[in-house]
Amino acid sequence: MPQTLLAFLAMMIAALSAINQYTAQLQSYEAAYRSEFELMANAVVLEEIEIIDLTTSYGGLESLNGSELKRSFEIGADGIEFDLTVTVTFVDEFGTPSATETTQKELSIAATHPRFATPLVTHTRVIAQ
Amino acid sequence: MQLLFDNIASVLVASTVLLVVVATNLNAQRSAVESSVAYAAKTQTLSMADYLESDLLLVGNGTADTIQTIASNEADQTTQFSFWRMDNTGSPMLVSYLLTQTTSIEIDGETVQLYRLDRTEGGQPAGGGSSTLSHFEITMLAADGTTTADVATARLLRVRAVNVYPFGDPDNMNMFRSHWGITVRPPSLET
Repeated sequence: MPQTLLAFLAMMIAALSAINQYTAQLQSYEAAYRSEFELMANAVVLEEIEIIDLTTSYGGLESLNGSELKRSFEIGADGIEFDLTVTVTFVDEFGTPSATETTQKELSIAATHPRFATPLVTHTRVIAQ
Repeated sequence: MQLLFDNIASVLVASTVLLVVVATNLNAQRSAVESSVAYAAKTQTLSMADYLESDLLLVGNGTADTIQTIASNEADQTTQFSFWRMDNTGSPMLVSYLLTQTTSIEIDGETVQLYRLDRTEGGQPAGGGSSTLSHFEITMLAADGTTTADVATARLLRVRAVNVYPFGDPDNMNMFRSHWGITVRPPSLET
């Protein structure tokens, strides 16, 4: 009967609208959640870059290439652990990676967390000889 | 009789549709409020982060002394952080960050203590931060990243802060926590 079909249609539209809104809400939560993790990862990566810059000589930087570290963002007794991957490459005066030895190296650290598929942040610093 | 059933069925369908639409609309409104609250909390936190970062980089700038006082409470929060820097006239000026307890809120049975961050220059109020901080901590780090209590060995300053934004009715309150942290390397700590 036409009225039955119309009633079914109305319920379908209402249900689809509710599902659509719920999906958008979940995406909004996910974005806010990731944004928090990015800020924490940012702090952890920048600190590691400063520590490496302070403690490692120019010649010793290459030994860090490919190393993986675990560092935590701690608030009081709680902490969230991030996985850091260190990359060191020679770069030319324009910052472009160079296959041959130059007078400056680019230290790059990427932070990841098992909760997210892609790296949260990546920071680089060029260190001259 | 058939007409009666038809009427009852149509009223039921209409009520269901109306209920779903109203619930969806209310949920959308709540989601919009939450997004606004998260944005406001983040903006306020990053605004505080901006001036705190530039301020801490000037620790000991143009002065013989650097960090004067760093005091914590039992929850490892920094209640006072005072340092010397040069003012606009070239004279030494003592800048202090003071953390003061304000109020506490209860959410889902958990009590969260809030703090206000005040800033003074030479003992006079000069700016400040959020009044809804649930955590604020400045730690001195040695060159290798280990914490140190000795200013002479400190090379880095690590800051950790959590800004809390409560929202909703008192009986059904939620909160958004905005985390922020940075580690600065004031040039004056290296000399």
